[in-house]
Amino acid sequence: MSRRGALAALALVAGEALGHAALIDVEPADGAVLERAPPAAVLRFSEPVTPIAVRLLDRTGTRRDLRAVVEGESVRVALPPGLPDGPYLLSFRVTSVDSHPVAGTVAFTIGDAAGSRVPAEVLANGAVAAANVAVRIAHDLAMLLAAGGALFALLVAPFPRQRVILASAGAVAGAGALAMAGLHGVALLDSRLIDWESWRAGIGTTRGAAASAAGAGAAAIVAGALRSPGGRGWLAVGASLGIASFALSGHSAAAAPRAVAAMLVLTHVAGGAFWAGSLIGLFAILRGRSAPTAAHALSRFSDLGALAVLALIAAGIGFAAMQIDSLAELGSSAYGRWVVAKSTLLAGLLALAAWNRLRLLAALKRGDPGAAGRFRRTIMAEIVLLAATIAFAAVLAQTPPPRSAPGVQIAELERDGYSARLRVAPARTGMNTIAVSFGGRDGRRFDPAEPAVAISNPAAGVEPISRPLQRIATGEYRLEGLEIAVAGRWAIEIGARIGDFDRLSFRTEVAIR
Amino acid sequence: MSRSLRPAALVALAAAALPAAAHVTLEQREAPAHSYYKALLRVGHGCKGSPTVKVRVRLPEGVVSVRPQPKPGWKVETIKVKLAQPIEDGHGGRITETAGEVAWSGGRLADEHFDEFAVMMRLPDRPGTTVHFPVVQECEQGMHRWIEIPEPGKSAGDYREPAPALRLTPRQ
Repeated sequence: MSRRGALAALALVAGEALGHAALIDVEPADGAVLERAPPAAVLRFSEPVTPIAVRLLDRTGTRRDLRAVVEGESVRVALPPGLPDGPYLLSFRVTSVDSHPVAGTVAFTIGDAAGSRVPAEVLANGAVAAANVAVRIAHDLAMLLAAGGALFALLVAPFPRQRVILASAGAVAGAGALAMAGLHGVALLDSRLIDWESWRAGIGTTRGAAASAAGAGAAAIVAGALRSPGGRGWLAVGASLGIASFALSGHSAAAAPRAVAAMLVLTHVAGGAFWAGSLIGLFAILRGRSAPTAAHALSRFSDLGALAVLALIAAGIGFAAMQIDSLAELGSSAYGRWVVAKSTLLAGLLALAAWNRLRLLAALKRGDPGAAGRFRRTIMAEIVLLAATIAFAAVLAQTPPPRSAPGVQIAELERDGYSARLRVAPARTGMNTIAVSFGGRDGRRFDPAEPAVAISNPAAGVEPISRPLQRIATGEYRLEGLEIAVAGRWAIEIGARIGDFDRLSFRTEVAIR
Repeated sequence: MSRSLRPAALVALAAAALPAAAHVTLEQREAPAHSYYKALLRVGHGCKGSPTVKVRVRLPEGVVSVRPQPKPGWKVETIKVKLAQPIEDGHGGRITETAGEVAWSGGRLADEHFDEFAVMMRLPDRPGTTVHFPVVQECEQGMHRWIEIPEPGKSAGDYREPAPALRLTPRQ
């Protein structure tokens, strides 16, 4: 019989816990920040072990099973080449010679620890916040008008004063895009409103990429407008780039899956742009041309317009569903309330548009005198409502969706007369802060010895990660910067010692979204 | 070796061989309540290679007549605690204080060696319960605190550093 089998038999007969191997050393060290991705990780134990599983988790929650090679009392794990910067968890499970499992997790970060975090949309002060929203509204209105007007000119009919309208809208949109990127830099760097360094920095971020697309799109539209009638190609390119720029940054860039979110945003914006541009185009046509020509343009628009509206509504609902998890959040979160407000305006707009088409189109076709005038006035009303809706949408884009709003998990735990109040914030994937208040048997705050928190996620294959808690005040302890990479239910154990011989252990579960 | 002899051979092996225990455990895990009992703590490992230099054990509540066994090379001391309720000592007198903790110090037990530390005592009269003997094992570098008490539904094997446990059986 093999030696291993004999020892296992010994364990059965003697009926006791034979030795655990212990992890003596690990490279990279737990909590290390590394300049570049290491080629391998080495785990050194107190005796030879057999690896069962070694996994690598990154900040997106992707789990990779790695191959482990035993080298004496160490285990060498080859890490995948070309790991991108960011935080990682290396989770291992091995058995000692006597088949007792030993498990643990090592956390390390590649690259700049600060850069691994997604910058928050922190608006430093009131002036910057106000400027941000104002510029956003102006840019969105101008860009939708420019791109939409271009689409109308291409798909329905050219309209009078098209050159002036498209060129000026494009110019405003381009300037607005640059301003938005610059203001984003100001917000990120927490500086004053007029600070060229911050503006340059802002243009360099992802907002900058969106700004480039918007700027290029706006420029193309201006070029196409000025070259009219030969600029149709430019108009098409400009409209596409301008609409695409809405999907390149902000909430759509962060929602998962990104491809779906981007498609929904693109569809929604394209529908809205076409509608906005069409209102302006129709208004211009009704002022200038004869009624039959106007009616002709209107009929052509009606079919496309109905399609655009349907796409707008469907995509809008889809995107809102991605950002909001439950109908309750519509009322309870700021984001949800703005969605309701925007949708209400939109509903009013749709009703007005429907009345417009049904009642006035027939009158226009018949050539009723004054029909054109009435039509113009209702279109004016539509334009005002749509502008307000677009403004609300711009504010919505600046509001964090409930998915990313801080949520907090709180638990009141009790054991043997001692109490612990646990608070996990923001209880989302990424960096979290754990705060614990300890209460003694007399109910008063007290300081146990060596308090530590251990979190694990058995379903995701993450073995317990243990970290000490730092004392803030009597009975108050905190752990900051705990990276929780994967969403789901995590088991939390708060351990501490009372005197030399008594261990206190509180266990609970928290949901991380 | 024929099939029927193998289990016997294994048992013999088990009896003869020294178990390579890394947990600190009691050799005898069950004893009748209210009886005289020799608690034999087995220390099989040091701390990650470092030799053991001090062993402290806290005795369960209700244990009386505590007499530790001296060891050559070690100094043993008994730390007393006052009893909440004085109890009869079985010889006509009353006991007002008892040993709360026994500590062996001043010795050196290498990591690759094993040793036993013994204390004689009278167990409390609580049949059907399990009492624990939490141990603090101090080494030249580092220490082990064998103080984890399993939660209901779990056993000592589920923990990294469980406290040695003794099950009290009915009186004899």
